[in-house]
Amino acid sequence: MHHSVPAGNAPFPVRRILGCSSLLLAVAVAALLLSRAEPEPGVVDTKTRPLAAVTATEGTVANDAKTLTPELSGRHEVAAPTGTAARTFDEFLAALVELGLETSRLADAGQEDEAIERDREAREMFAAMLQSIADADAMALAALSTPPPADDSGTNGDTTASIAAPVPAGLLRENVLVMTLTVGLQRRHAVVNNGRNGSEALTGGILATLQARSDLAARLGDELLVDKPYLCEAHEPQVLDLVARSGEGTFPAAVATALLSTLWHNLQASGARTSEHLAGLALLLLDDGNRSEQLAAARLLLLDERYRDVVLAHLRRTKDADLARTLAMAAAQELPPTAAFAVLTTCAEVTGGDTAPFLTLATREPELLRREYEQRLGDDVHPRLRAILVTGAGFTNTPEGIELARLAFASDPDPEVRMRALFVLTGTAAEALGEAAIAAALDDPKLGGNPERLGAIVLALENLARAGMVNAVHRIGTRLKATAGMSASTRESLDRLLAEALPGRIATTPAWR
Amino acid sequence: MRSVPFLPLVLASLFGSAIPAQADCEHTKAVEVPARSSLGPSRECDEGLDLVLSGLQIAGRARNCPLFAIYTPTHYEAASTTDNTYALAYGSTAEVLIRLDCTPHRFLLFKLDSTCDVVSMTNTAELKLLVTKGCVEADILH
Repeated sequence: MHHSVPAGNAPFPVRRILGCSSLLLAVAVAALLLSRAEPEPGVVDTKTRPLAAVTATEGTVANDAKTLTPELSGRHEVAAPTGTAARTFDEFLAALVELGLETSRLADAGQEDEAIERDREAREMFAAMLQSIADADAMALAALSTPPPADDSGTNGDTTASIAAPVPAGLLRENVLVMTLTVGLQRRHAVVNNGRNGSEALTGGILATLQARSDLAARLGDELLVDKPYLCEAHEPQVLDLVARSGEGTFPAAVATALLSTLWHNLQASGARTSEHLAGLALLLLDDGNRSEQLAAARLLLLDERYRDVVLAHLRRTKDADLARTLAMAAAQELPPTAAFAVLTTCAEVTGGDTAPFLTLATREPELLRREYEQRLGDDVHPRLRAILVTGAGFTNTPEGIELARLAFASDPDPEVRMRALFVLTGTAAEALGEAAIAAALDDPKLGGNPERLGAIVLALENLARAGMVNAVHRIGTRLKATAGMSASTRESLDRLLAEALPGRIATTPAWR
Repeated sequence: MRSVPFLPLVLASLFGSAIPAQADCEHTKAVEVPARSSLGPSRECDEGLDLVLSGLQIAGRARNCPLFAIYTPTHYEAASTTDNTYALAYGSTAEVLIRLDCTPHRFLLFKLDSTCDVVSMTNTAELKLLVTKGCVEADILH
């Protein structure tokens, strides 16, 4: 079985070469792209030619640009550039940034129509750049490989304009460059030459840039490459290098994990690696890899029915709560609901029970959580899991979820489960059921009669306050204030809530801030 | 005449039955659970989430807006211990469900709007605030 050696585990000279040459590599790839760049059909390289000189193919160019950049022109028709003077890439970039700053200033000043007009101009200029500079993506990559200009104001020393502009020029410049790369990847990926995908070199260049500039991990890694088809076998050493860097703390682990997962997915989808091969590698990394490798490996194995039990056994053995949370969310979103539920219950044993994955799963299939709850209620087992099920299903804001909360509030023998149901009823059905539910809780000896539960009832009352139920808050609050046995801290919370919620004194800033 | 240490006696008179005698000691301690946030599934809206709650930064993947975020503030759980201690509740806080939504863009090329907005906030569960206290030796109390 073939196993790639992560760059981080490679002999020192190899590792050092990878580390030191990343920036040079990115520039080299950009240069290579520039040297190899061939104009797209109908696209004329006008780096040195005025666009006005292009006459015969003008209409074709405009049509191609619209076809190739649907996400940029889809919501607005981008007019064919006419009368645009010849510009270099840097000039286009500077002009686009300036237009963005102007748009931003106008929007900030409430001049909506003028801002929309500037935005339209920016779209046209962006389309013109793509049409007239065939290798704009390579230039964008080269520009990203170098740090942004020291003067980030984009105002050429005009500090007044800088103060007025709510959007920094550096961000606008980055937006233009990333959008250019987005378009470039799409265009090149559509072309296959000699079995190699046209986006391979550009993707390699982006990875090289990431190796040199981890601060761009979210913009270049997450936005451009994660869950996209561009990563392929040729990029494996670079991705593994980023994964190794994440283990050293010099590259964001979440992005490295996502890149590795995307690479493996693409390798399997393209047939470059079999699922057995990848699973074998993942099994090794699950125990011996760094954090990013472990997360990616566990995710890959979890999604494969044949290896799911291996991951769950690993979880039970290691009691790794962070891994359990990651896997629970992946399962809740990607596995069939019944299989996902089995994973979530195992993960809950490790984490103590997080709401997010159960709420996510309930959003997909609320009936499943209701069935699982009713089964456990009938057997009077797993009260902690019952509480999470009530919360997860209840906060989907669906009739099924509210019905489950009503059932739990009325029938569950466990006070903690009933309290969770109270939070659902006050949080999702405040007007219809909230006040009556709190009143019933106060009448219940195990809830309102237990001083230790009064703090939770005050927190549930806060849900009614957020829903604007001032009169109900006043009525319940008055009753609560007269309740004996309330701790000093709960009484303080109640007083604060009432001071904020009662008429004329409703807080504009919620207490949680 | 039997002598009684002064400090435990004062503590016993101050807290009465709030301090368990050693024979009834729960042998528990308060264990801190650090604050964290969990993001729900994402939807495309061309802008990331950048939200700071009580000093904890909640960051979502750029160009996506999570359907919800769940913020769990620092709280405590009681855990078993061999020490003669017990976990005493001194207050509570809440897990909060924050629903989020994308707002339409005004500008496609330069995204000026904050497109991931808080729609509502709801308390979903009570979280305990605990402190570890020592159990008082039974023979001292009697």
